[in-house]
Parts: sequence; C-alpha cells; structure tokens
Amino acid sequence: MIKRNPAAGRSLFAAIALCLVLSPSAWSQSAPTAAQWTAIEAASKKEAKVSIYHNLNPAGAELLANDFRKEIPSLNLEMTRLGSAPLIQRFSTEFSANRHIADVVITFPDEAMLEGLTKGWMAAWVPPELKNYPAKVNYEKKNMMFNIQTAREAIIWNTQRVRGNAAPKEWADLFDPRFKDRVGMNPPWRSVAIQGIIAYWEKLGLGDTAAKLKANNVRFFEGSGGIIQAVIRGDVHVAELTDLPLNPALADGAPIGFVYPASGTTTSEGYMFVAAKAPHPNAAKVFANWILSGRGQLLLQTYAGLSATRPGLPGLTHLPPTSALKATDGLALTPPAKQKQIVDHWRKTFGIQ
Amino acid sequence: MGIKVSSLVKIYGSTTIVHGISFNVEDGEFVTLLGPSGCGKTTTLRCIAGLERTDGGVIEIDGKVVSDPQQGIFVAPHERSLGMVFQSYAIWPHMTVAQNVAFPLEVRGEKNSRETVAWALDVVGLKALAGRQPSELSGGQQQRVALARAIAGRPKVLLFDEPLSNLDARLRDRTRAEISRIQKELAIPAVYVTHDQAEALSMSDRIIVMDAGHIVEEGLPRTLYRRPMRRFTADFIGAANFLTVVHRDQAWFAPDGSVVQLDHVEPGEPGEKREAVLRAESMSLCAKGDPAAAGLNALHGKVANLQYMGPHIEYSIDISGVLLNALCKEEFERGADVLVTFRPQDIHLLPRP
Amino acid sequence: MSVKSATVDTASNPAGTAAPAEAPLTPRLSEGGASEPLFGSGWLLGSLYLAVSVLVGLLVLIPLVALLYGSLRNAAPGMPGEWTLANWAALASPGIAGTFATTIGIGIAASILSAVFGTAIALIVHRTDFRGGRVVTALVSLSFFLPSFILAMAWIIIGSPGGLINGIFEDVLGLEGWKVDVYTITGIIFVMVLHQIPFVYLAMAGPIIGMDATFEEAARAAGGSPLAVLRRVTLPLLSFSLTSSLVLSFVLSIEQFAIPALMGIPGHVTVLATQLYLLVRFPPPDYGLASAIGLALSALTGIAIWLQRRIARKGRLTVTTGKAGRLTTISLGRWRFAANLLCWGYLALALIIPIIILTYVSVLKYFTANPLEGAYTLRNYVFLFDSGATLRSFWNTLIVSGLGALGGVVLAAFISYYTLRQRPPGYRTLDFTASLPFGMPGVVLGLGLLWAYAYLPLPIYGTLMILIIAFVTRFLAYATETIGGRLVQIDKSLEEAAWTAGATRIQGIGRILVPLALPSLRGAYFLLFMAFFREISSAVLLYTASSNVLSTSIWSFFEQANWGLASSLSLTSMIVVLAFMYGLMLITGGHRSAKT
Repeated sequence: MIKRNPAAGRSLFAAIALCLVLSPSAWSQSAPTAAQWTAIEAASKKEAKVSIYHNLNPAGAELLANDFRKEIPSLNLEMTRLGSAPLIQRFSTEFSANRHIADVVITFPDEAMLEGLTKGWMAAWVPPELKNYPAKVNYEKKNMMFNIQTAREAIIWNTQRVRGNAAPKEWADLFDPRFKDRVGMNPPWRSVAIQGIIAYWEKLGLGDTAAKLKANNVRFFEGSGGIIQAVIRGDVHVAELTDLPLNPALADGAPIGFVYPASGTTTSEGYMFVAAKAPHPNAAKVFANWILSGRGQLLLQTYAGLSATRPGLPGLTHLPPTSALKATDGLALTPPAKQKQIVDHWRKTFGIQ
Repeated sequence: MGIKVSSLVKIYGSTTIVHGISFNVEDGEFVTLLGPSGCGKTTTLRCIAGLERTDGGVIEIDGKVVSDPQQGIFVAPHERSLGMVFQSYAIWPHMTVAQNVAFPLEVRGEKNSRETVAWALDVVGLKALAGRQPSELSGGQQQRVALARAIAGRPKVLLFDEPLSNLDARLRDRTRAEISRIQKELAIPAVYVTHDQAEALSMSDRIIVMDAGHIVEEGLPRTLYRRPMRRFTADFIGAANFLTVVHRDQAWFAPDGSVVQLDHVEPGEPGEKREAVLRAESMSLCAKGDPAAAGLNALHGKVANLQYMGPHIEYSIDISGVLLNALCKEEFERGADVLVTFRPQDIHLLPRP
Repeated sequence: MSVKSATVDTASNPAGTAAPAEAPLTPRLSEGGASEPLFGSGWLLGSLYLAVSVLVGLLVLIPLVALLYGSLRNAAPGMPGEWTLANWAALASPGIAGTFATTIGIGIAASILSAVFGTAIALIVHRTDFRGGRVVTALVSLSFFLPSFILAMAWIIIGSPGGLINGIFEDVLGLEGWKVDVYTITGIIFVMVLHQIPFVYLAMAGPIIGMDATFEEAARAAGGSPLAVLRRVTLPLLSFSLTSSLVLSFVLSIEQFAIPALMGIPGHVTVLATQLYLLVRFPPPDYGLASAIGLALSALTGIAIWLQRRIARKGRLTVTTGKAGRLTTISLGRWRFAANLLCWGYLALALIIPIIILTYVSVLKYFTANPLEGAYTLRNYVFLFDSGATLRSFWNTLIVSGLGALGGVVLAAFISYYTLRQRPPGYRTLDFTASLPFGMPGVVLGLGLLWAYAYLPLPIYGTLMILIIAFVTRFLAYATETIGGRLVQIDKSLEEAAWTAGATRIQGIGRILVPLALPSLRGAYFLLFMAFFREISSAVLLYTASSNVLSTSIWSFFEQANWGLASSLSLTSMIVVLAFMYGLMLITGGHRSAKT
C-alpha cells in the first residue's frame, strides 16, 4: 500500500524535491536507509528549529525539552502546551487556514484527529526507531500516528480519609452510597479516556452509570490533575482517575491509595504524528524519532510519569506495567458515534446542555 | 479697519441662536454686547473668535474676511490675531505666569519673547509674580494674567467674555478701569460681552443691546441710558419706571392727571398713549405745596413702602394705582401724601412702537 | 482608575461664584452641541479620526463577524458545513435558558454586594477619620491586579470540602456536622465579590473625592447629622456613579470565566461563560452553539454597557459642578471597629490570606491542610529558574504589557479626544464601539480572533501581535474611561484660550491638553499594563510557544493541577512585574500620580 504524501501532490517540483532530498521514506513502507537518515539529520540542522504541540504536563515536558536541547543542540525546540481538545481544534483551524506552525503533535486523539488521518494532516513515514516496537503502536499501520505512551483508568482514594477495608476495590464501589458526596471524576466530555471507561462500564453491565453517579452526587474536577489534587486535599475521598499524574504523586509520598479493578480497565493511547505540512519537516522527524528512542521513552517515563510504550523499559516506579493489567483499548470501544452518545447522555443527565 | 459683522447667523440643531445681526467696531473702539443670559452675545463673540463656525453672514477683521460660510471661508482662530479673555480666565495650570503670557509669542515663533512678556506683565502690574504657579494666585491676579496673555501677542482685536463675573465687587470696579485704560493705550478694537449694565456703561464707547439673538438697539452709553428707543433697553439698563402718558389738548398727561412737561415738543394724536421712561434716581419728593416743586414736573402720590438704604431711601410711590420706584434723599413716612418731582429732561417718551 | 469621575473643573472655573453664564447655548461639555470647528491642521485630525474609527471598528467587528459566521454554520469555520439557524434556536432550550437564569442571578447578587462593599470601603477611606486609608487604598489597588483564577484557587484551598476551614473544624475542633463548601453558587458569588470590590472601589473613589462640598455643607447647615447627610444627600448625589459601577460590575460578573469554571464545575453550577468553554474545549465541540451563546452574552452585556453610558452621561451633567476638597470628615466614633473590620477583613480575605496560601502551596510537594505535616520542597522555584520557556514568557509579558499597553493608551487617548472633545459626526458610535468589548467574554473574543486571524491574510496569527490585539480590544474601555474621566475635567476654555492665543489645534493638544491629561495617561498605562499581565481567558486560545506569556504559563500549570508551579510562578511573576512597574513609575515620575 503506497501512501501519497499529500504535500507532494501539489507540485511536481515539490514532489521531486521531497522525493530526492528530504523524504524518500514517504514513498515506501520501509524505514529510511542510514544514508537517507543522515541526509534528514543534515537537513534538520539547516531548519534549526522544531515546534511541538503537546498535551503533556508542562513541568515534565519542560525537563524533557531541556534534555533534548542538550542532546541535539542544533535544534531549537519550541513547545506549545494545550489540553488535547483545544490542541486539536487549534491544529485543525490552522491546517484549514494554511497556517502551518506545528511540526509534531503529541496528544490523545479524538474524532477530529482521526478524521485528520484522511484529510492530509499527517506525514506518512517510518521512523527508524519503529523497528523496536510492536506493530500495534503504528495506528492502523498507516505510518502516521505512533502510540508513545498509554494511560490506564484506576480508582484512587485518600488514605487518610478512607482506611483499611473501606477502600474501594471495584468500579461498582464508586456508586456505593457510603461514598455519597465523596466521589470525584473527570467528566466524560473533557476526555476520550473517560468515555472509554464509561463504555467499558456499560460492557460490564453496570447500567446507567451517569444516573448512578448523579445519585451519589459525584463532583467533577478538571482533568486528571484536578482529580488527584481534589483527592489529596480531601474534597472527595475516592475518584476515578486516568493515571497520568499518579506515579509522580506516589513518588512524592502523597497520601493516595490506588487500584486497577480486577474486572478490568481501559487504556488510552497517547499518539504522536508529524504534520504533513510541517514547516520544519526534517527536524520534526528527528524529534519524533528521538521520542521513540529508548532515551526519549525513558525520559517520558521519568519526567512526565507516563507509562511509555517501548518494550524493555525499566517500568514505572510505583505502578504496574500495562501488560500486568486486564486492559482493553478504550478508543476501540468508542467509535465517534459512541463518543457522541456518551457525551450527550452525560451532558443531559448533568444539565450542561 | 476694525471688525465688521454682517448678517451673522448661528444655528444649533434646530434652534437659531443668532438671527442675522450686523454691527461694526471701529479701530480703537470699545464695544460692549449687552444682554440677558441666552441672548446670543457670547455666541456672537465666539463666532468672531472662530470658536464657533457660523451658519451665515460675513465677519471681517482688519479688512480681511475671516468667516463667510457662503463662500466657504473660515479662518482658524489662531490665524485671526486675537487676544481673548475668558470668563474662567483659562490660565493653564501647568505653566507659570510668565509661560502663560509667553505662549502667544512662542506659538507664533517669536524667539525673543522676554521683553514683550515683561511689558505685558508690567501693563497689568504683575511683573513681580512672573515665576509663580497659577494656583498660587488670587482670582484677581489670575484675571490679570489672562489679560496680559491676551495682549502679549499684540493682537489686532481684543475679545472679552464676561471677564469680571467671577470677581468680587470691589475688585471688579478696579479691574474695569484697568481694562479700559489698557484698551485705550493699545488703541485696538475691543468687543466685550457682559450682562452687567454697570460694566457696559462705564467701559464702552458704544453698547449693543441684544435680546433673543437680535440687536435691540445700539448707541452711546449715555444715549441708551437717557434716551432709549426701546422699552427692553430702558428696562435692562438701570432701574426704569414706566409711566403711561396720554396726549390731550396739545399736552401729555400722567395717570394722576398732571401735565407732564418735556424738554422738547413731542407731537401726538389726541387720545394717543405712550410709555414714558422715568429713572428712579432722577426723582425727588416734597410735601404738597412745597415751593421746591416750582418749575418741575410734579405728580401726586402716596408713600406705599420704603426701605432705608443709607445714602438714599428707596420709595415705592403710588400714583393713582401705578407704583413708581424712586431713590430719594428726602424722608417721609409710609402713607404720607407727597409730590414726586423731576426735571423735564429727566422724562423720556419711548417712540411709537 | 477613575471611571468617569464626574467633576467639572474647578481649578480654572470657579463656577461656585459664577454669575449665570450662557450655559445652555455655549455647551462646554455639553450634550448635543454642534461639533467644534475644524481648522488649520484639521485635515490631519480629520483623517486621524477616520483612521481611529476604522481601527476600532476592525478590532471589535472582526471577531464579532467571525462569531456571527460561526453561529450560522453547523461546523467550525474552515470545515465543510451548511448554513443553519439551529444554534440560535437552541438558545431557547430549557438547559440554556436555565443557565441564562443562573448567570443573571449570580451577576445581580455579585454586583449588588460588590457595589455595597466597594462603596462602603471607598466612603470609609475617603470621607471618615479612618486611620490607615493610604495603606488600604494601596492594598485594594494591589488586589485589583490579583488574577481571578489565583483568587479562586486560594479559596478552593481554603473553603473546599477538604480545605483549610473544614480541616480546622473537623480535625482540630472535632465538629463534624458543620461544613463549608465553596463549590456552590454562594461560594462563587463570594469569591466574585472579593474579586470585584476593588473595581467598584476604584470607580467610586473618584466621584467621592471629587464631590461638591457645598451640597453637603448645605445639608449640614440645615441640621442634618453626619450620617443623615450621608444617607440623604451624599449617597443620592453619588447614585449615578453608583448605578454606573453597579452595571459595570454586573457585566464583569456575567462575563467572569475563571471563578465559575474552577468553582462551579465540581458543584454542577453552570454559567454562560463556563458553558461556552465546555462546548468549545471538549469533544465533540459545538462551535455554532458556543458562538450563538457568546453573541447572546455579548448582546446582554452590550445592552448593560449602553445603559451604563447613558447613566454616566446624565450623571456627569447633574452631579458635578463643584470644587474638590474641603469635604467634611465624618467621625467614625463607635463605628470605628466596624469600619476596621470591613476594610481589613476584606483585605485579609481578598489579598493577604490568598497570598499566604499561594506562598504555602508553592513550597509543597502535595497539599496538606496541616502545615506541620507538609512535604516541603523548593523544586518549583528551582524549576522556574532553570526553565527557558518561563524566562521567555517573562520577556513576552514585558513586551505585550509594556508595548501593548502603550499602543492601547495612544489609541484610547485619541478615542477620548474625539468622543469627548472634538465630537465629529459619529462620535457616539465610536464611543460605544470602543466600550463594547468590555463586556465581551474573553473566551468569546479569543475564539472570534482565532477564527478571524487564522483566515485573514495578515502576518499576525500565532505572534505576540495577536495577543496585543486581543488585549487592547478587550481593555480599551479601561483606558478610555480613565483618560476620559480626566478630559471632561479639563475646562474647554483652556484649549480655546490656546487657539485664540495663536495656537493651532495640534499645538493646543500638544501644549495644553496632553500635559494636563498626563497623569491620567500614565494611570491608564499602568492600568492596562497590569490588566494585560493578568489576562488569561482571551489569551488561552491564541498563544503559541513563541508567544507564551506569564498568565498563560501559570494557567497551563494550573490546568494540569500543578498548583505548586502555578503558585510559585504567580508569586514570582507578581513580584517581578510589580518591581518592573515600580521602576517604570520612578523613571516616568508617575509614582505620585499613578493612582488616578
């Protein structure tokens, strides 16, 4: 299957130039040869700059960027941090308006981003580091979106407020009246990851979970960071959590207990793509490949506390690896129509719309 | 050359403020626009200054047309060679006295303004205060700074907009004399706006009486006072009594039936009624049969009311049902029968309307 | 800032003793007067007027048109979609109608309370023998600049179910039943009032200080006790200014985003601004409905502002004749305690405690209510000093605030000059247009600008320039009000005297008007500087890596619930920005007059 680089379709000269000098890999399914990669690296030095849109936590991203700058000093790395939805909205607007700023995008994909797959948002290429990964990391084998980290859904609680046997073990405990007024979560319209776990609840036969949580007077907090702060503070005692900020909090010694329920959990894959119309296409590839390298993945794990996808990493300090969990791909459970149905139902139940 | 105003019209919205008035001011002449509040006098002055655009008519200053809307001519105030004193003085609070006075010279690009400033301050007697801030000056001093500033630029005309109305009575008298003196020294035409008859009478070469946007009449101060042509003028200037006299048997009769002697022959139709102006201060009182009444007009009346004022007594005398105000030295009790006497030249018959 | 403090000058026009002048016919500040003659350099001022009008029109209309377009489409601009009226029809749905009601209810409650307390503090500080008024004024002004989301964050820490107050009640005092919860309508109103009191205070201080003493003297002479005079004369005289700041406070309440977002979402209290945010930010986004809500909200605030401008205009003509100063001081007597409680209590709640909380959180690894159990760290500060992105956002802020505010002041000065002085045809439209964005929610403005400038062929998108455009548009009214408040006090004859003395209009402006208005220009500059520094809601959709400013950096830490970094950056940036401003004041000599 040959994927045409949409940028190359525009003009013959551009196509030839791309083909000969910059991006021969776009025309094949194979990774660039050593010589081709050297040419890309050389070209990236001329571009001297790379601009990333990402939704990683800002502190971790900053540390990651510092290391990247040290290791590849020829590239001036610029990062714009946005929540996943506004990030995709921004990219989409800029793409339609022909304002190309982002070279690499790192975020959780939503419906719009998946549509972007076929709208020419993304460059098709094979990063040299990809050979070290299982095939499923390459989204639908399109050579465009690469899964760089995986978040899992968990239940957490404040260990000073909820002790011993009172601690929740299963998803159904979230609906238990003993936690009335004391349950927190990130609302599903804020995150695809939450939509995934709600779909999984449905699959487990837990019924109308929106209504049950409403009856338990669930409190909504913004994002996984907001949830974990609320639990540490004690605003709520237990909460559903996408585990992005969990490892750093445990490392700090925060009074938090956690469980990945035995009935199973969902994962949300964080993806990275190189923009098809990246202003610095070679630098973009150099950066993206670095993120996929053992070094990049390790830093992603240490600095941002994320469960990185590269096999053979030492693993998170306080959390089990995904392979040890009964985990289902959340995105697979939530095709666009399902996403809309869940969000509409929850927005209606909680009177947002 | 002076100032020439012909058929000046000024309209605000749907209200006509000035109805096509015309007058001239000769070189060195001091002309006062006198009238009640809202008569259009200040508007006329502001039109001469160029602070208002006119809606009709021609204004000439020093032989040059400065405003003629029909011809599309409008000369800006700063090109009209004016000196103007405002009711509020409009001393610029961020400049010293000397800087205020030097301003007209500076903006005309005169380099050596110091001598002129010194001269102007000398004229108003403020040489010692040149370095002061306006906030340190009394009202009278501010007024003189405004005057010094108005003359410093050696203007072709001087304009005054009720400059004395914010001063106390004593200061007003002194400044009145000073303004007259300075204007005569400079020998340039001056237009002075006031509603104060004393100012108008004492300073002007000529007074123009205005009412409701029209010129009522104009003339020498003495003529307007003694021989006004219009009831409005007589009423506005000085405390006038109006007495209706009737022509009968080749003579004019007062309401009490006495014959009124005039200093000239005033023909009339039999039965014709005219209004006579009689100034309060030109009357005397005497008892009936007092020989002092010989050769004078004498009306029979009764003291209806009186107020002791010091230099004189203010009487209200009932002459056959008509009340006359009289300022006299003679002392009578309330209710006393008296003769009101005045010289033939002190009564003036208004022309037929 | 003085919001149209309505005193006619005074220094140059002792109108108290003035004999009847021809006031109705020679309108000095007047309504409906004919425009002044243009002359000399008139063509220059005329073309500048045209340029200023066009510029203001574009600034305000471009995002509005983009939103209008968006509201009539069933897809985001640039996406394939169809024309539709469904978004406008959706405004009538029960959910949105309910949100409208909540928003207006919160707006009314918050604005009335802000007006009452703000005016009370202003009266106490400026009219009574209260001690420490200067300190209170300085601190209230400082709290004006505390970003609303920082205040909300501090109050979440203090008053949330797991916050400090409940911690003290439960763990220290052992009280179980009694709970404080700021995630409620009451909590939102409370924090909004804290946030808006400085605005009302600053708006009311001018009229209160500038009031004509003779009115009160007359009432005192007629036998009124100080309190009776206050109630029967002073407050009624201030009622125009009071109503005007009440309306503005209402506008600020209903467009307020950060406070209801942080405190309302956990407790399911939805207002229009947060609903808009929820619709736009999270998938599947509904831009059409968001635009319709945004425009409806802007229409609401537009009406309020139109009302306020009418009130302010009337008020200026009726309340204001007098001389400043010489106002009698009311003795507090046994009310001193209450006055102290109000002023210092307010400052404690709105400024001092939040700053302490911020400092505490900035040195914690994770939050604990009990400081003895805290896990302390300096890593947040270490991180900031190592971070290139943070350094860059400092520079960007200084550029955006420093230069952007300068541009804003220059534009506002021209607008004020034309709308209050020269009054060429159409000046009222200009006045209204310039004040319209004051009520446009920042998120709405940001969205409109994002759409518009992404598609306009101008090299502005993604630069600091678009932030400056957003901020200038949003806060233009702050500057025009400050400058205008001073311009109306400068008697017209001061300028006319310059013309008759031979000065052109330009010379009159340069030599007379600008020097006299200088304190207000300086005040407007510092006001914009701080407003730009603290602004977040319009910036959040527009910034990029290279145009990151401090507020967006703080917000992005905050959004990730990294409160340690958010707090430490808030503190550091406030110290740096205040120091920078102080330095600027010393250089420009404005330290005496910055608080106009």
